[in-house]
Amino acid sequence: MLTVVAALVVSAIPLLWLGVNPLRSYREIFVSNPTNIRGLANILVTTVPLFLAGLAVYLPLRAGLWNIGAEGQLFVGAIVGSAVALNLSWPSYVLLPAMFLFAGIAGGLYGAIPGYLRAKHNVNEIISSLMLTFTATTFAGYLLRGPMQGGGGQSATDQLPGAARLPTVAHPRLHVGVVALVIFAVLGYLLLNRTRLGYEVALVGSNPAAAVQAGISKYKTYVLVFVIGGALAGIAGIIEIAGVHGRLFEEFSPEYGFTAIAVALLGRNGVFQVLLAALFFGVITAGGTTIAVTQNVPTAIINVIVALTILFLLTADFIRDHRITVSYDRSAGSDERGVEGAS
Amino acid sequence: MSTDALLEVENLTKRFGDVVADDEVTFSVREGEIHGLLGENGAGKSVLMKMLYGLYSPTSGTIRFRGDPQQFDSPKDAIDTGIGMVHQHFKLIPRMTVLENIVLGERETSSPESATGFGDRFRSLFTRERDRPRERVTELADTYGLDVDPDSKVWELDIGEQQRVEILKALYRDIDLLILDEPTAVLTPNESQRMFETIRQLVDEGLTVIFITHKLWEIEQMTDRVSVLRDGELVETVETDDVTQAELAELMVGRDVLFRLEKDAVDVRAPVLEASGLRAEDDRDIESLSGVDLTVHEGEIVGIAGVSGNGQRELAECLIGFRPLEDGEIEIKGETLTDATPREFVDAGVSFVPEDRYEHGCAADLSVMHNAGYKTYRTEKFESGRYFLDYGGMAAYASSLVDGFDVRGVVDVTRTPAGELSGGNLQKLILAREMRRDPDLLIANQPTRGVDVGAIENIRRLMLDQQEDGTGILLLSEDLDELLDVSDRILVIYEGEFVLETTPEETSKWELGMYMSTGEAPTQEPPGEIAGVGE
Repeated sequence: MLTVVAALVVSAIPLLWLGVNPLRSYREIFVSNPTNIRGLANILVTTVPLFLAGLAVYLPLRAGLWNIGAEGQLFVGAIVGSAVALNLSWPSYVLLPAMFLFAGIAGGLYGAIPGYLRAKHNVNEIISSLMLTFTATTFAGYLLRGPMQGGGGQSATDQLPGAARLPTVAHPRLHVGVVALVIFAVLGYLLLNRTRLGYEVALVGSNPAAAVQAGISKYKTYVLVFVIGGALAGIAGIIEIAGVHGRLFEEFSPEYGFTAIAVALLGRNGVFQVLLAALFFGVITAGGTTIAVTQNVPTAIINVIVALTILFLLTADFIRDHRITVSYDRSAGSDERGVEGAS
Repeated sequence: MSTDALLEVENLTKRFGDVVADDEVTFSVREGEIHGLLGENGAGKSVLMKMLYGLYSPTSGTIRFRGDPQQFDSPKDAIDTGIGMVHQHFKLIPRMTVLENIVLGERETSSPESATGFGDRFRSLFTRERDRPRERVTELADTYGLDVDPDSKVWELDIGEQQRVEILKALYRDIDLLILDEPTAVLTPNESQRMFETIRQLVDEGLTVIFITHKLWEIEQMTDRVSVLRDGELVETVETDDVTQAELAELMVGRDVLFRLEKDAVDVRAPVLEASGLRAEDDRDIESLSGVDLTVHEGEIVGIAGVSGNGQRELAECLIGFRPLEDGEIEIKGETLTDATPREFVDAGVSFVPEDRYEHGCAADLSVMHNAGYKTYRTEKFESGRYFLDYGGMAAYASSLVDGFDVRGVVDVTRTPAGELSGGNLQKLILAREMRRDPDLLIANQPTRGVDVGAIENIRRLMLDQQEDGTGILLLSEDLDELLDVSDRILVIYEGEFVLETTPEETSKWELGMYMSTGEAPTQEPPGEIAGVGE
């Protein structure tokens, strides 16, 4: 809590510099915006992709792996889901599940690549998943200027048919995709804390050598966490398209897949913590967009505030968790020095 | 021996929340003495020493060094004052060389007069000055007989060698007081003897040593005085010459300890393990197991004696499917398991107590419950539908293990991380996990290493009970007393091969020691009695 306050105090500096009253901005972000239906809708809608992509990072993290490629998996899900929507003229109750299914499968398969490479050939999953993200976003760029380009000359698809749009409730922006928050929070919790697989993931994440001796297949676990994570990110992608934008275009994701890393780190103690972290980022992002309009704050500054907040929270977390080991950091520091000296 | 107190500790207390690890501990260490510190697992020895070394700050009480009160904020303060420590669990960086590990954290090279400005520093990188630390290390190593190659990487060394590096690391820092936390727990008898000579040499050179151990005969043989800790309180400090081992044991555990286990004759039955021609490589891809044949029968304890690093670890890991075989065959109860996965070995009823509790024996940051169940979680006992796991049942199972095997320090099985247990209690938890599943074959690598006398007795008793239930046990140990006490047969491993097969009745510690260190039959007559537990 203190860290949030500290982050807000530091974030006040650029706001003051712009001649904006930070207290007014903060009241808007944390009080006014969440308490009106439009603001709340925005927050929830923003939280959905953050949470799902957050889980996509969190799940491999539990097994000791870093999925930096949630953004790529999200893109692949969005592409495949959109392709299904644009090419099949099925009724809504068949089309929507099909879109979600194929988006999930595509994201999962895309996630399987770094998982498989790590499990079978010990390829660093951080690098492979990140590279695959660039591959996916660039490929999306190609598709949107080529095979999937719609009318109007923009690098975007046509509008998805009405049957492919998620219905909204209570507010025109509040699509039913927000139930994913509840569904996947519960499923994620059950998976990690009630199933055999969840137990194996925890064990592999804590001590792979011990897990292997216990008869757990590291290979299977590594591939599975990446597949499930990728599938969740893929679903996040199609929810964003079918629920919010209505068509696929290049900048449809404000880097949800990367913010997801911060979400997963912040919520690394459990699935519900990931949900809270996603919600927190949802509040700041949605509120930020609002004050950009109402108080004429440049959106770049909003990103600065978000970044500062992440930085503060993660640093504070790190210091809190590592207090005892701080003394070792000294030797780690001189370790670097030693390496310099040797090179 | 001087009577000046080098180190005085007064009413030192350390609390972790509600747990009092050390309660008003008062004792003093005289200059130039070897001061023993004795206590059961969890008696507060390690915490006490960590306070002296600046790793923990005391809740209350004072530490005086050469009469001056000290406050250590970090190990660096302690080292600067002149206190060095060799930990039970080594603090080395495996990826780096011995030399790099030793000089790590030193801000100056060992020739401070020449390295003043940046230019000099920079130049010194390219001149002979860089060899100064190397010369110093080699010199220290020669003087004290701590024989290690300064350029080998630490991960390539076995545990005994790593310990020598740790001691060199401490000596390199010009200390007056050296704390050795269970130094011989990982050494063979012969290596221990060499270590003792080293310690005596250190003391002759003016060093003072605090020597922490579980082994009573080491206290007897090595120390001038001994302080006994029990449940975080200092029971007494006594002159070693004035007490017997039995008296020390009683001070330590507060009850009489049974030293010799009664061992009933057990009928030997069908073989549970038949292995032939086993060959395997170590982590450096060097052959370390050169064709061994091994049979363990139901209800039989086969002891493997050997100096650490002669292929024991590789043997144990091959027999659970964790390390690939280069050649050879393994059958468990007649079923061929050559090249099978660890899971198939687990399912075939093979249990394993690894040499390194933290690295291979547990998932340290997971709860006791997670750790208690990980060999049994796949059985129908915890089944809850096809995919689900019965966590409630598992917690209950973990509690029953904790109670049944007297694992202390567990507040809540679902919350207390296994890594927070003391070494001996963690070992009990591991044994509980491996034995409660009633294995057909138990492979135990150094199960009593670094465990206190009371727990050792427990652990050996557990193995004997398990044997009576028909489990075949392969016991790899460096403790010859243990091997002679519990084994039905003893094999000596030397450079990856068995060089002797014998029984406890036919052999002696002396003969085993000779085979272990030379691989050959003794060529001379045995000397007089070698000191040993209870003898």
